[in-house]
Amino acid sequence: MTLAILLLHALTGMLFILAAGFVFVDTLNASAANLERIRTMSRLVAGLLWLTYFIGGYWYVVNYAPEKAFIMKGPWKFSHSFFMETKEHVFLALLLLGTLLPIIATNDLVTSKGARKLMLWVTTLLVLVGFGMDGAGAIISLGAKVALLPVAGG
Amino acid sequence: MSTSTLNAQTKGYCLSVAITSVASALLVIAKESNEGLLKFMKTVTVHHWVTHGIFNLVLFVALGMLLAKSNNGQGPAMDDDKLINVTVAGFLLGCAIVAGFMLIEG
Repeated sequence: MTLAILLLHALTGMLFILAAGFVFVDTLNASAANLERIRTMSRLVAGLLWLTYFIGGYWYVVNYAPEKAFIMKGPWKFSHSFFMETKEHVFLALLLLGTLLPIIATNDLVTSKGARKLMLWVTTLLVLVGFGMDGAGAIISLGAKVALLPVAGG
Repeated sequence: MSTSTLNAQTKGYCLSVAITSVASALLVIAKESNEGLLKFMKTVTVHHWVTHGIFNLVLFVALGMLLAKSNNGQGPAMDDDKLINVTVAGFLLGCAIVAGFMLIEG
């Protein structure tokens, strides 16, 4: 069950990145025909990001402590002290950036160049920092794995 | 004279993201450097990180609402490019402060 929660966190995280990429491309081609779709997808990005936060947050608060103890006894202490600590706090800001997306989408993206530019910047940051979060998650998992591996030659 | 094409809500919440990102990063430094503050944040909710998230959310919403209502309800007097620069820079600065601090202190 614990691993299922963690996998669900990674899954919703990847889905929000994909959805943000979708909004980026749709904004490049913003017209009256796809304006409502951009708004719907922007809400989906924010929703998936909040879902990722609640699922990951639940796992972090309830289940992470034993894993952290293993990591800190292992050779990849940095996977917690740098990657987890940075990920858990940068995510809080990323959450707000994602929440901003549907607010920006309330503007007329067809006529406002500024709104389109803002959408492109925000979705770019969401995708890039989202990938960073994903990579950090993989490093944290590896940090736990190497801590549990038998010592070579032992 | 600002020449913004964005609505007041967007301008207010953009600036709010920039300010809250930096404030959140500074709170990371403060709680990691001050045991008393960390303990206090742990007592407010089940975990200091949960308290931190609630602090960010309250600040984000409060600032966004206030800023959106500023300037006679038109939002901050700022042109689009400047607003985008401030939003992106604020968010990235917040991320850089957190990562830099963890790199040095982690």
